[in-house]
Amino acid sequence: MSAGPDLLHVDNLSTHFADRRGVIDRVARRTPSVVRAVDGVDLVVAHNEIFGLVGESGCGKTTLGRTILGLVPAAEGTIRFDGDDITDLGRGERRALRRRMQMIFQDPYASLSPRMRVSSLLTEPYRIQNTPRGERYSVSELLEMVNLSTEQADKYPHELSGGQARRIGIARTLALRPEFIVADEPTSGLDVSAAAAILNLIQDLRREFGLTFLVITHNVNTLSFLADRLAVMYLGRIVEMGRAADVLDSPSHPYTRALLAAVPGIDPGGADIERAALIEGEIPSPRNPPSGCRFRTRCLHARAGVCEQSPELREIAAGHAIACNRWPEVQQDKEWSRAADLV
Amino acid sequence: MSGEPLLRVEHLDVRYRTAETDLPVLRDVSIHVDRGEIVGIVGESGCGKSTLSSAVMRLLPPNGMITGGRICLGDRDLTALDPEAIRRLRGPEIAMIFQDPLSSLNPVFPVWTQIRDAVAAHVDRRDFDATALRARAAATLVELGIADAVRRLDDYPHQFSGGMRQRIVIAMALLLKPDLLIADEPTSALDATMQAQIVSILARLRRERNLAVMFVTHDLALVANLCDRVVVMYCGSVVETGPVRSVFRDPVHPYTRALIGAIPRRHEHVERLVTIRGSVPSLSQLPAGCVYAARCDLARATCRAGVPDVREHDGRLVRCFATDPASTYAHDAAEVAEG
Repeated sequence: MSAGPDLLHVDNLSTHFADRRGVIDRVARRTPSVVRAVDGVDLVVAHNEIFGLVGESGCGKTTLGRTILGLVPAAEGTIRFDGDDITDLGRGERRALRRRMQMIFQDPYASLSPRMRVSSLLTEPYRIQNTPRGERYSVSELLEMVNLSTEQADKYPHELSGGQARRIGIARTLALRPEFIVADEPTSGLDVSAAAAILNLIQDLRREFGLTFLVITHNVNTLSFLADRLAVMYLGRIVEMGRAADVLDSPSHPYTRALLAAVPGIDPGGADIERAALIEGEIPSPRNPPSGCRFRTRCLHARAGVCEQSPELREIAAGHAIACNRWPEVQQDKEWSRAADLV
Repeated sequence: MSGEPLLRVEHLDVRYRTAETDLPVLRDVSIHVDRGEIVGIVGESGCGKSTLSSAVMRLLPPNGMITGGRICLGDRDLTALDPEAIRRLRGPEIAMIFQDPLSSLNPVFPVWTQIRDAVAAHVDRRDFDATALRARAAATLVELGIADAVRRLDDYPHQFSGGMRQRIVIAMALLLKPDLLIADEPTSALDATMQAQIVSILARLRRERNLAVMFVTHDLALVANLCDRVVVMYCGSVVETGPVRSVFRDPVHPYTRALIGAIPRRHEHVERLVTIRGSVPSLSQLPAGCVYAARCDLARATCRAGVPDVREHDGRLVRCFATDPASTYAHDAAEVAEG
């Protein structure tokens, strides 16, 4: 769509989580094991763009979103927002920045205090940020932005449906007039029709307020509707990135192909469901990921002597990059053509 | 082969009673599942799809009761059987798997103990041979993709991942060779690539064992690809049922149309997704007419006055006045056009 200049620059970003060490570990001088939840990620999000981040549980997509917002500290790398380095900020600076960068949380009920009415939930960000009167939206304005009626203002969270609670969560983030919003699984737990309304709403907000979104999801079909560009993550790394239409129409990393084959489209009989599982087994533990290409232990195309090296994300077409050491030879594999009708 | 009717649910009514209310959770539900057929039961939360599967298994909560209709398995009416007869039926004839495999497995016993006890509970003691069963259990686990199954039978549930646990539960269900498997959201807790593995197992079992599956889910895309027929439920009743190909390519009921239009498609860009205005009516305050009328773009006076019957339309069954030439709906249209 009408994507402008770059707003967010993420360079070589890593987030590590260390295990808490018990007494025995300390006495035995064991080094704590480190989980590299995000491991060397580069990405750029343009002004007014919807950028999608997709992957299965444990791939690091939520951690990446939280690191960008400063909710978890970065271990390495830099994050620049609108030209400024925001990787390490003091409390005051971070709070000031929160106005501009917001998050829609996955579980709307968990992020809404059960004892507050919708009206005070919506104005809570103003109290925290001490926003001057003149810069505040009214409760009814906020409700209108997310297509809710003003009758909702007196309700408590438990009186709201899942879709309504999600909208209140979105209205709260809009209150501070942010420029950039991270939406973590914005439709999880919602029924089909409520989910569709939220997806439409995100598109509307982008258009009306010139917002930029990073949408984190496990559902790749959602991104076909929503995203301008997307990145596929596996075990802390980006394996494929490009314009959403390019990645979805010609997925090129073996993992992306397996993921797309596993998530069928709604057209009946489009896929041979018995063969749709292109990969066996499960994601290895991020505690002890495979060396080199992290997908090689499950990849149909892995070759000894080639995949033990960490692949770089390389362009295979304009604006479409994948991290695979076997590109482009991989397309000559027998399995590649056999799976072609599935993806 | 397939085609022979196995399960027939006819005009089923189920109510949940509490001190204050008496909720009609299922109203006039009729479905059938043939041998070797996979039938998808879809609908949004609260539509009654899980109640339907519990009713077939006769596993309704104590306050839930069948107040009308029949559930026939072969030529027996399950609603007329006593609890002991139902117990003997579960396992060898109907088995059920749930969304969360952990809730079906006891964390403090090894998998083998649970498989053994589950089978022992459903077969005659004289026919029970633990050694033979263990060999068969290991073979079934291998068939479902669990490597080193002989040794792993002695592992505890927590030593398996979510996808592996679901395979164990399916294996347990298969050991008694049921004709019908009821799967209630069996893949909803799993990641995409794991879901694909479980779904391909179900498709293979149908082909190899002529297993009939009643597949309860909210995931329409999964139904489109796995099932032969689909039953669309809304607010306690069936609104449309028919072959997956025709229902998904050309949905007739306005609710089915909206549901399918609400799902993003991978290769087809749309400006907006279809949404449904309003919300599902409360079961304690059901409208007088069609339950969908208040949210329906095609609703007219007829729809608010009475409940539509199920009629055959274009190779499927639909509960909608707009598709019923014998109703006064067409007459309403004339009035609207004149006005």
